[in-house]
Amino acid sequence: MLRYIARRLVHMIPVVIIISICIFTIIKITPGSPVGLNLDPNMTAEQKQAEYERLGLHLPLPVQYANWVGRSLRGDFGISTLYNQPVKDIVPSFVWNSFRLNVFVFIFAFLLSIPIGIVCAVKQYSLTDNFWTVFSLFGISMPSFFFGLLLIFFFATKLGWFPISGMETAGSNLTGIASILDQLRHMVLPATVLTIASLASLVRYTRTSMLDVIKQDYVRTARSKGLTEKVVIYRHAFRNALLPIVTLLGFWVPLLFSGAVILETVFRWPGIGQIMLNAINWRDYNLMMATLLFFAVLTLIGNLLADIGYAIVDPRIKVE
Amino acid sequence: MSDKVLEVKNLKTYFYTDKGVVKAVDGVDFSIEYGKTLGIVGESGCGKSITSMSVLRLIPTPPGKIEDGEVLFEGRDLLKVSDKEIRSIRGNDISMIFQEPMTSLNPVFTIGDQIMEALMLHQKLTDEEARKKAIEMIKLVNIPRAEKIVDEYPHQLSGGMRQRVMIAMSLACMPKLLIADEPTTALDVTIQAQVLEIMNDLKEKLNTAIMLITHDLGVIAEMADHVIVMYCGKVVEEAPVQELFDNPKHPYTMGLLNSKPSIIENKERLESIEGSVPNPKFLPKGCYFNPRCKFAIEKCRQEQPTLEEITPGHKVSCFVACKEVE
Repeated sequence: MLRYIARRLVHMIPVVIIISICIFTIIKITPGSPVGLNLDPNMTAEQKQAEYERLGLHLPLPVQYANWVGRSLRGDFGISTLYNQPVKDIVPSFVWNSFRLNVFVFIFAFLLSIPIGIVCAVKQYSLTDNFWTVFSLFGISMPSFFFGLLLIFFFATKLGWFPISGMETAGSNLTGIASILDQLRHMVLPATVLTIASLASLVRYTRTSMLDVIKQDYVRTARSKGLTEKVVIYRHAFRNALLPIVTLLGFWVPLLFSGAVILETVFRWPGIGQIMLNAINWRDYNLMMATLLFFAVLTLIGNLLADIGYAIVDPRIKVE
Repeated sequence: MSDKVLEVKNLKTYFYTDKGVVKAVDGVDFSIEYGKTLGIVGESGCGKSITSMSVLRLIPTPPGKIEDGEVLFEGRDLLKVSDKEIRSIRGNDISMIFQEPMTSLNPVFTIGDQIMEALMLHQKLTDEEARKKAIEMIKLVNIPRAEKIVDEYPHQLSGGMRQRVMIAMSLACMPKLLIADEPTTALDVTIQAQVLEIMNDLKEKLNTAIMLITHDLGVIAEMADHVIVMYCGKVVEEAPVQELFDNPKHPYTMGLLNSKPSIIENKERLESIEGSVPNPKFLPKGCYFNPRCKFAIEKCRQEQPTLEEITPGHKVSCFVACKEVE
């Protein structure tokens, strides 16, 4: 197993290189440049040229790429032209903000959707199942920004139960538990929107997967042994229904760290999603490269985790 | 106490679909004696499997429903006992082998786990005892390397081995009745013979009664003591095995026997029964077999025959056959 993981990690290197070339090229051929966006609009052409040269943008693309690779390998991802800070100082704190929110959503969504999905499958077309079908339809079709605004309107503006936006009360000097509670209060609305959206598709997914499995012959065999329905469903059927769910878990790993761009904007949550959007709008090349590549690597790791998860839950899959 | 381990009376299992009611099993009677084998024959879709699943109440409800009848196992009506009681019988007193060995074992559990499960549940064996017993059972069905196999997963075994594992699993608790639903259909001929031999062997060792469902008359001849022939959810003929092969009375049974290849008579072409099994939602009026029957008379098209005993132990549901005897 360890050898397999090591081999997969080695295989990732060329993939990451190819991805970085693709990202780099696409970013650079996009019209616009950071020069002028971050400087005084009245600057002269000479000043502009000087800025280009300072940022190394006058060099041919392959040279620029080589420079970038050289720096990055030394752990220097450059300076963000937008925030005027080293990229490696900006990204982690914003990723952490997104992660905090997503981890709640992740836990809630999976903890709720799996039992709900199982019940829906076992009692197909029952009242419970129909309720969750309608719920899922709602969750999938409702745009998150609109649903977010609705929640803000009712629960923040009208009822005043939760703050409208942000991550903590501005200007407050709360410490310890009070600070944590304050942050949790800010988290409720965005987490609700994200959870409902994820729950909707996860419930459908679990339900379909379960429905597939409970029609299998080995479930009938389990029943014919005299096992109780509980054991039949949760031991025999669910272990098999888990296989496709493991894939989903793998996909979720990058989502945990990446921000929901639209939702973070609606709730003014200072997550990585917003930062990435800003970086793109302001052509902040270094920040874009770092964040996009970070997500690419996370996706690769997520896939690897899914494959390892597969091998753990399904004895038919051998990773060696 | 009677010598019958299982007695099924007037069993009716219907399926309620959007397009109408399917009377999959429509008033079936039969019984099995201790240590004997009852063969149930018929074409696909005649209700054989549904009959066997009804005995253990394994019919998915809805859409299926056991509408009427009694299933007396050692005098107890299995259709009336509580869910808990039927579970204590399943896998313990009555167990089943299914048609598809490739899909009937759970792919994510080891062979040992799956055999041990019933033992630990019904016989209250400890982990260790159950494992020992599982290995013993695997040896009993002639699988080599039992100590290794017990920790292997179903996908590591061949179809024939899996079916033998199924047999080991179903016999682990020494059931009084084994329901085998086409146990050899998915296997190749040499493996078929081995599996049947094992079943026969164990029947004698453990005095287990067997309800053997098949469409293969060769298997019936090999295994069964008594045979019932089913057509469209009804029993059309019932007789001891020798009597049935020597002296078939129902035109359907004759048709089945004629369509069997023989190495003694050198037939150019196999005979077949004209037509096909009618759609169970639109059964013909009168005898269900009349549109395909060479001997059908007017009465067959109007009335439904009932199962009549024509000679001791030999029952047939056919106007023409009954008249002949008179």
